[in-house]
Amino acid sequence: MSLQVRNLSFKYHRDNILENISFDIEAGNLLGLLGPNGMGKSTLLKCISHILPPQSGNIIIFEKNLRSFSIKEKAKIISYVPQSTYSSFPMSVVDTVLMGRIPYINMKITKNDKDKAFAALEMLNLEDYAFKNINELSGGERQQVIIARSIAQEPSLLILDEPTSNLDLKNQMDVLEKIKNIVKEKKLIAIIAIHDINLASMFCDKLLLLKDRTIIAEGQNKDIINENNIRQVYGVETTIIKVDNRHHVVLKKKKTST
Amino acid sequence: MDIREQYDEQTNKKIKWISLLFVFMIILSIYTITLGTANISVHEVLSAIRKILTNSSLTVQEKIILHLRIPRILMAILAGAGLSFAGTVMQAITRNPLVSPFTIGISSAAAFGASLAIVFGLGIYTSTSFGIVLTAFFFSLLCALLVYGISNKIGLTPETLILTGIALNYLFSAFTATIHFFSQEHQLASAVAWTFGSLNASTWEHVVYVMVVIVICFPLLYRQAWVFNAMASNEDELVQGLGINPAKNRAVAGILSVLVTASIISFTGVIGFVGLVAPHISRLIIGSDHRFLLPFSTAVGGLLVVLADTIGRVILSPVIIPVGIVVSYLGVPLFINLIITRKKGYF
Repeated sequence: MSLQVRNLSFKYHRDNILENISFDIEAGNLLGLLGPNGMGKSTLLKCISHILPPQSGNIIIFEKNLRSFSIKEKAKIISYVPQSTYSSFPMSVVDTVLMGRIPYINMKITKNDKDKAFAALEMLNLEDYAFKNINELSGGERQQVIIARSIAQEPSLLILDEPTSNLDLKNQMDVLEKIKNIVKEKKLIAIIAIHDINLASMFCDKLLLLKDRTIIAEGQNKDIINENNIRQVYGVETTIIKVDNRHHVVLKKKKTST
Repeated sequence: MDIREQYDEQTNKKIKWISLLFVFMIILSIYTITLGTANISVHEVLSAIRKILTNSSLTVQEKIILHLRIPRILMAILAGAGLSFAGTVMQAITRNPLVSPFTIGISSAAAFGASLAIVFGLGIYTSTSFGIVLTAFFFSLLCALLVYGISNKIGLTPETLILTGIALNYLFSAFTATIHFFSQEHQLASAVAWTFGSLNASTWEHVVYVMVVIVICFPLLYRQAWVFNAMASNEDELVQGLGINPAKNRAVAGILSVLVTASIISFTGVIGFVGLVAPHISRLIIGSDHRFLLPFSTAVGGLLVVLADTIGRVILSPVIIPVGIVVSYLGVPLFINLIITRKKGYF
């Protein structure tokens, strides 16, 4: 059981955003997508989840092409968590998580739907917030509620766009640890876009480096996190140090030319 | 307590509140039948209703109740309920708290149709008051079709809908003003009076027409309560991720709520404020879950218009102040009070 992305290309108007992207990932693995701003990380995630269907190339999940699925069938397989959410009409945390059951319900939620939603809440330890209004929560808490909703959606493929971008250090660790546990426990496939290379190294099973519309390196942390790749992708000088058998990146100061 | 039990208890509480509000609305409506220039007691009203139902012959007073008071109050309930329900749906599908059924220009198009019929006698059967109704209805639907047609070219997003709607709103207002500019004084007076929104002309026939539209449209829309939950609180991308086609649902729900709105205001004239404020009052009280919000706002809207119409009838009796005016006097303080005192997380 795996996800295969084959020769995916995406154009926005006439501009090529993504060209010829291919990679595989097995169930139970967390894939980290690294790359500079504006290089199409978010677009790639939206293409994979078919929110923006790619013009060419295919996404094969469980041996089936995603193009053959209806919008509702896709929603039962893929769940997408955006960078941030805000609502003028905020609902309670429970009701927000219950929305994850929409692909399965026909007008009325059942006891089963409620059980799934509450289990997701408990999985992310959000019980204390259950009846709060979602707009009353902090950014990190809200992010976790949306992740809980994704879990309630029971996807096979979980896609998260920078789930840690506006969280503090402890919250970043918490959220990634929870995602990782869920991926292992439920044997999901998860893809996250992430900026922090060290965090990615700590939690992801596999990394992809995105630059100039395509993948320039893919593999395990120790194979692709090196000074050369980082310079090529981000244009910064770094020193690589080894911690717990993982490659971590330490930034070097630019030589100022004055 | 376990959060599961707590959730079920909250749900039951909300259902209880909704039922109570409907019961209150019915009791209040029966009471308001007694109020007006002719003095009638509650007892007389009840016995009149009994006689009407058993088809006995009626006294003059009972005829007043049957042919004037009851259709008027039913129309008030239906108008308030319908406009509020439609407003809740429009706000949900556009994700915008400033939207009411009138944002997309329906009311000014209806006012244009009515003015056209009153001033030039254009339209179908224009010599009758029903001609005014039909012309108003025709133009409000025409406006809605234009709004949807134009914004469909650019993807039917909330922004395109609202902006096209506002533009057409101004266009039809300009048309109406042009007609008024060239009209005779007595025609101008009745054309302007139409825009105040009034229930004076309500008949059983009107009640039946509006009732039919509501009975068809409400269940169709209520079935989509979860879709509205998703659309009201998420960007289109995420709505899609939940297995919903946002553009399609926006078009269908939008057209149904336009239909409800147009069929009401064609008979009553513009009772504008209910469609904006009753949904908000309801949200502040019962929350944004459309499973409960839709029925609750229906009752709040009905109640608001019944109250406003009754106040308009009795406060300067025998002069009747148009309900469209009173409803704003009543709704604004209530709304502002709720904004100040209720939840901070709102908006």
